[in-house]
Amino acid sequence: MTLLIVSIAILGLLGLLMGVGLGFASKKLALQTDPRIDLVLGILPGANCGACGFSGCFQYAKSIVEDGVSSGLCTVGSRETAKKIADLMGIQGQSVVKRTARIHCGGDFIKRQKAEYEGVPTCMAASLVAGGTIQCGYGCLGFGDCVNVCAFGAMTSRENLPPVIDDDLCTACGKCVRACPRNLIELIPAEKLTVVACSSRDKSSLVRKVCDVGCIACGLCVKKCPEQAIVVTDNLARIRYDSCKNAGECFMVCPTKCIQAKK
Amino acid sequence: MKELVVLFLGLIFVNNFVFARFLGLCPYMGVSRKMTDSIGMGLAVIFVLLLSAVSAWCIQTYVLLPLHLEFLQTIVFILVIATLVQLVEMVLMKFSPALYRALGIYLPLITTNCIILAVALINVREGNGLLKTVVTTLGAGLGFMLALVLMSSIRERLDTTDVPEALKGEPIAFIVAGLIAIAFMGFSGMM
Repeated sequence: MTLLIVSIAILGLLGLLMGVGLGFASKKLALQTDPRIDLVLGILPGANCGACGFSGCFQYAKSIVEDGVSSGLCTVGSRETAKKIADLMGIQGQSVVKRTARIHCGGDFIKRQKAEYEGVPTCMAASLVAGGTIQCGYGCLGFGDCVNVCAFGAMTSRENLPPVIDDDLCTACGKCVRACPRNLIELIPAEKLTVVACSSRDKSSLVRKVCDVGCIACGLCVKKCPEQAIVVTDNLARIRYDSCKNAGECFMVCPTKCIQAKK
Repeated sequence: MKELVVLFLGLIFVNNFVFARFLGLCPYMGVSRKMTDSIGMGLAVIFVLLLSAVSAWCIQTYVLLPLHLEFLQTIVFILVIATLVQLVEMVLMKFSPALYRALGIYLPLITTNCIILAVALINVREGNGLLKTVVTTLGAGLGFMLALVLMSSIRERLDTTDVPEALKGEPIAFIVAGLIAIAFMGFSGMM
């Protein structure tokens, strides 16, 4: 019995000594770090899982404060964490531009399937087979790799069209951008409401054959835009978002209804 | 005296902790990509080894043995090692942030590194005196650093060669480590 008490006492004493020693050392060897790093670290969940791409929560906190990395990369903390960190960093005088993901495709992937596909039901796999499972060599394949990878539930699959993205839930973490094998997704400022829902570089005759809403590079949007924010290159219209002021003229004039606009 | 020198050299070449006993492989594989990192890691390990082996020996001799608490060896040594590694981390962060960043996650991994515990336990179980403990620890640490430096110089060269895709990185490193281990077997004739 005494053995038990003695061993517990000795272990306890040693532990206490070391703890005190370390506490003392940490005060003496303290560094001048940006206090915001500790604040951000406090907001982060502290799981050190590495999902954000950094080696531990401390590294991520450091990168947010020092390098201005997006605060929406933490999949464990999700919305609340991202918002709290953005608020914190915003209070310190940095402006946080809310960004969201937009998909540059509006085509029906069921309607324009090339043939029966019996393979791994992922966009990545489907994109590797015979130039993709749909007739358009650039468009959305519809297997939902992007929806599956979104940790914030911001993407909703649709039966035959590319997914819908909820701007409020999207944290612009970039996972869907990386997941799409056809690079259809782009992160843009959330305040911009128009998007060219096409990525096809094919000539207009070919585009019309395989898609009802593809861009035919007619150039009407270029002419109508009051800010000259659209250019047509490679048979595809592209909106330059730094110039776009949400006039919406492009959306109204597009003959194929390729350009989409959020309310 | 001669016995100590033989012990020291033996630990570096013949009974090398990495090549003969296969201990400490995690930091060995993880930090041996660049020569500068390896030297830094080797020195950190030697530092932790010395402090922890000596502290462990002191605690064993003055606390555990008189009170017949030898069975607490493992847990007490781990406690000591963990504390020392925390201390080393703090010291590094303050005095050499570059090395601290370079070692990254491998610094706290020194704690769970079997080499540290192994040296502490081996010293205690062979009943070494303080001097012999220090010599053994230094030998083990230098042997580990030698292994790291050798490996990193080879790996720096490997980066520029045409390694098959499947073997790139860790696999070829392990194969190389195995080959070095075989080569080190040749030293056993030294004893």
